[in-house]
Amino acid sequence: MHTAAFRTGVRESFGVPGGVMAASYLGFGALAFSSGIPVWIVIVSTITIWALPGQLVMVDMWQIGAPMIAILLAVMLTNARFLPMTVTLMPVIRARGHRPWVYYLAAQCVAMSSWVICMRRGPEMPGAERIDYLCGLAAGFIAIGVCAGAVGYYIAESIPKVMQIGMVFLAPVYFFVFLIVEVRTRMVAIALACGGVAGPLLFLITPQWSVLLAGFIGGTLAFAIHHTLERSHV
Amino acid sequence: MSDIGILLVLCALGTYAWRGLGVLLSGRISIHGDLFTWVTCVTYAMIAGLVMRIIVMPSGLLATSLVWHRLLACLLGLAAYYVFRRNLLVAVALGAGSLIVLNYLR
Repeated sequence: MHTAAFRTGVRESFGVPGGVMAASYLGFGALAFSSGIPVWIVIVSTITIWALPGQLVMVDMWQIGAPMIAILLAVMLTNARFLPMTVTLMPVIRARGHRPWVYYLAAQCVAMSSWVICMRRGPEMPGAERIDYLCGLAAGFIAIGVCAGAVGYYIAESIPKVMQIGMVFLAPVYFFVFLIVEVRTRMVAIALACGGVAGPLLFLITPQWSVLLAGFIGGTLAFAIHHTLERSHV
Repeated sequence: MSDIGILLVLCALGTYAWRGLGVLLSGRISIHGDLFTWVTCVTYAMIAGLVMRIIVMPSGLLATSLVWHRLLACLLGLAAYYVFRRNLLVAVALGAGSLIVLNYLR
């Protein structure tokens, strides 16, 4: 194990990305409190699921009383992106001398933030050290997420309702801005628009299944539009 | 274990399944096919759908604020991102802060 690379990862997690992570998990903790979810769910889900959109889907659907199978399907679908992400990250961190199981442990470190940073920084460092860097980065981020989530939960509990509204709003604002400014392709823009319209509309029809259906219907519609545009070379 | 505990275990296992499968399949599958393009579309649509629904028709505490206040707060956050040299932290803080102020002034 390359302790220095691990430490570099931990150190780099405490930058601007770590600050944004802290803000969004503060909001998640506050949202969980106002939804009547126990604090240990905030902490354990941050370590085990380690994907804020999935955690948000789980807490939100649980709160409106969606069937367990619908929640599980929705969480799995929002997190299906980890398959292609892990597939593309493995060649970057694979090196001679690592035992095979190490990669399965490192896979838990794959989330949006650490993936983006590791894909960019990884190739700059020696092959054998990259996996330690990734683990250090993720360990730092997870620690930030766990602490911020728990702190957000208890802050929300003890501040007046006027302030609590702002805290609960942190996570939605974060995703609203992040999703819009991170749009890199036309396809993603179409998918965001279709989902953004489908989500509220479907909620009026079937609240409990709306998240899952918004993904399926909005996403499939976006996929179809994207294909049609590609074929007509627009 | 409570129901939400069981749900958490299932969701955690279901999420890890993708990561583990990614390690297993790495180097053996192409991620540029139609299936992954569709998965990308579904992922973005689902997150956008959830976020817009929370903003437009929230439940619980957020429901006590006005919908146009929430929309305005989001747009202010977005504007702040570009004004403050693409700083997401400032954008999020200003967005959430402006909802507190708007709601307080009501």
